[in-house]
Amino acid sequence: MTEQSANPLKNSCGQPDGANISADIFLIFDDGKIPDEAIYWLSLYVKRHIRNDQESGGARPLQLRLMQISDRDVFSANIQNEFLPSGENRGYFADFDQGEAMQLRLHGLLAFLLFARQYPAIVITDKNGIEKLCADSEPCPHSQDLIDDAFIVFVTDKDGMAWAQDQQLRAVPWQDQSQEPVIERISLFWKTRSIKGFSSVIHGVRRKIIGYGKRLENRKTHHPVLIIGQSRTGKELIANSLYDVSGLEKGKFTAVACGTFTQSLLLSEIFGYWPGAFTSSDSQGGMGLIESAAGGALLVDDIDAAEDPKGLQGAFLRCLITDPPTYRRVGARPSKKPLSETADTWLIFTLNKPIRDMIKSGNLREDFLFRFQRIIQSPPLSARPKDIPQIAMTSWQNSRLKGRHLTIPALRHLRYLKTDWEANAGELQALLLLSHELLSENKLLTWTEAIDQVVERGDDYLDWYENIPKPSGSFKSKTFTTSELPEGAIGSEGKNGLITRELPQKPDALIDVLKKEILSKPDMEFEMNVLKRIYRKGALGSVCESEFLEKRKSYEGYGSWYALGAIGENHADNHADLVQLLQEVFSQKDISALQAYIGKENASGTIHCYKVLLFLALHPQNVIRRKEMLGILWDRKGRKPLTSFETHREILIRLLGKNKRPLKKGEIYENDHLSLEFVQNEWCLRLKTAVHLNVSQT
Amino acid sequence: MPVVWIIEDEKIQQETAKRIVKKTAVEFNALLHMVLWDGRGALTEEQTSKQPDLVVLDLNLSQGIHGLEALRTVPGFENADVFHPYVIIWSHFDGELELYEMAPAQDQKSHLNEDRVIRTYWKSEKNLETALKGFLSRLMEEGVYHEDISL
Repeated sequence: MTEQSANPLKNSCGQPDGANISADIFLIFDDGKIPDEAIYWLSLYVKRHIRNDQESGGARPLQLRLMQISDRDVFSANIQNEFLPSGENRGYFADFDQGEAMQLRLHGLLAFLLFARQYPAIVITDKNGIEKLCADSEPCPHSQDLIDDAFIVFVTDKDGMAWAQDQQLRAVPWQDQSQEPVIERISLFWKTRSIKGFSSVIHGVRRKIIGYGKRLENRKTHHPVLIIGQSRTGKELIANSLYDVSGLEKGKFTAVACGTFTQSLLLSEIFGYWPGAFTSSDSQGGMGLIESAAGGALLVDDIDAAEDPKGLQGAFLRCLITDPPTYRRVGARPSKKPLSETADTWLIFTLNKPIRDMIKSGNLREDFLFRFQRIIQSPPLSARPKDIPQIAMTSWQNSRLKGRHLTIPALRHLRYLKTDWEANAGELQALLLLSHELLSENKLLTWTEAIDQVVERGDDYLDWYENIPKPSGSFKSKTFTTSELPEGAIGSEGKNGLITRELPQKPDALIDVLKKEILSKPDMEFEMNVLKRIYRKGALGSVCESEFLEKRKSYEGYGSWYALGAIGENHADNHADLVQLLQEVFSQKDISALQAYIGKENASGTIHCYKVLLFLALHPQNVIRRKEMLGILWDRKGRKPLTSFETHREILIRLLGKNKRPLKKGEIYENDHLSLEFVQNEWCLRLKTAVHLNVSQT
Repeated sequence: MPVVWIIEDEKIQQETAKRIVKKTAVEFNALLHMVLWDGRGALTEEQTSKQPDLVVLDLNLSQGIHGLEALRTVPGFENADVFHPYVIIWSHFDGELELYEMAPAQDQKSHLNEDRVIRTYWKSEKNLETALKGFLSRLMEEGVYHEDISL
């Protein structure tokens, strides 16, 4: 990993060190001319920003990043000079770092906004600009993400406003000089910046945090807060940002995990004890955490993990209604004054099980729940898929692993990868770490491929850890022996015979069976059998599993297609069968032309050709016309037919994609860049023998 | 448009590499700009105008020129901070790879990014094709920028 530090892509999606950036501002105008209104709005915003920042008196100035994007030069340089009220305020602007700027250029503004940005964005543009930006996203779900994103604000003209409102985008007119909605959102983000994500769900949580972080004037302490959420959804982050927002004394945040102590010890830890409360208690008594955290906050983490959750909740009941919280130390007696004490501590509780289940199982007191007037639900990852790229990026940065940095395509892939993230951020992290393992072993792998390989190991994320792939291939492996094969799989010839499968004799019925097979997912076991049959591995007595898996990989796309065709000495029979099937689908003229073309010397090649044709003809999603289908069988120069099975495999894999589900028209599959049109174009390419490259030669 | 350089002195090998690069590019539906060079001939202005993104490199070039030495002539090499092409060292394991091992000791300035360099142990077409496929897909994911954005 030499010279990694000098690599511009290193920070490709990364955050510059010690970033103090509050917002990114993009100006998009086709001809590069910024209208006066937009300039006025922007300079007003910059002035406000600087004034607000000076008032708040932070140690370092909050910075803005400006970027102008026009048709002519995709990317013009920084234009902050125009908006600087005076030279001294230079500190209020930052530049995009090199890696980030490169990602922006490469993948476009929309991809950058949706998958790689770290800060809220203000997009200043006219109607053309918004339309162009959104046009990229049609008809993908990206437009939904754009609507869901609570921290992209469009600043636009009258036409643009109308258009944006139609599309439900967040927009403000540039005539609006109050700028309140923009300022409010940006400051909301800045205050709760330790929480990641821009989705509207998390926006709601941020607003709650700001609201609950304020102390009411008639109260001495903050209202106690209960944070409910599954594990790894960021409950502690929410608690931390509540504390940051509250303006309480820094460094007075104490957390106690209820699962760590036995119940009695936990009570004395939290509330303190008097001398003689228990054997070997300190003669001076002991201060509890609630008292030591006075003036700050006490986070009681995972209250359901305590030994006796109900008892612990009971102990807190009085603290919750009194202001400031009133409690009794362990071992308090009327003779020992004071009997009960108060501490102005803000109590924050977290709960990581569903409340309904807990009440049913008797682990949650309803009265405990009802005493909270401030409850925050921490949304699981599946409720905010829009935030996955940002969370992935943060968790990648925090993992401090060396290696390649996450790219925008990989982040986009993660975003649409799964809908159920069972273990939330933990699962995401596991995925990244396991992919990283693969990447560090293989330089030829891309992030996207590595992620796919990990996910292929199983549905459950625990499978990812368990099913470490064999070096021979990346497929989930299972050993087959002859004894395990289903009854009837072994032919009448016994051990040395071929493994056969009964196929219907009548062409109609056979076509039906094949159609079903094409549609259904490939059956691994069946494929194994067929492969054994083809390669006669069963006959040798030893089952070479890795070889089978390798074969399966190379024949993916066919399903159980091998049942037809070249599988033994009797080519002639199979050949006749296939011709009979072809006659059902193609005209006699086509077939005789084909036979004349292919010739007879290469028997297995002929069968491959027939199979490809039949496969295409039967496939319900096939959009290629009959004539073109025949064209596929010839090489790009049209000289001779392709009789290699490998070539046809490539064709079919591309046509059908990996997962063999029905394809809708225009749907993108297998790889992002392989669309249906592309596949069709490629046939044209092969047929027309187009020269595809620019070659200059010395 | 990504720029691929093939640095190879033998005509036959050069043609082979060219064919494989073309074939892979068609498979990826990528438009490539290809430059063939024998490691010592003069380069035209057009050829040196763009930095390579991927280099297929032969180590043992004719007249005793070391492949890594030739690589230093490639445009962009002087900007160590930003120039990190993918390099496929396409050579035999016998003798030639020793040249690669020796290089860093001889010259401290060779600053290839190890993560983007792969060596083949056998000068076969299959090896080159596999390496090309991997690096081209990485190139497409991680990106390349030459004013015109084509990938």
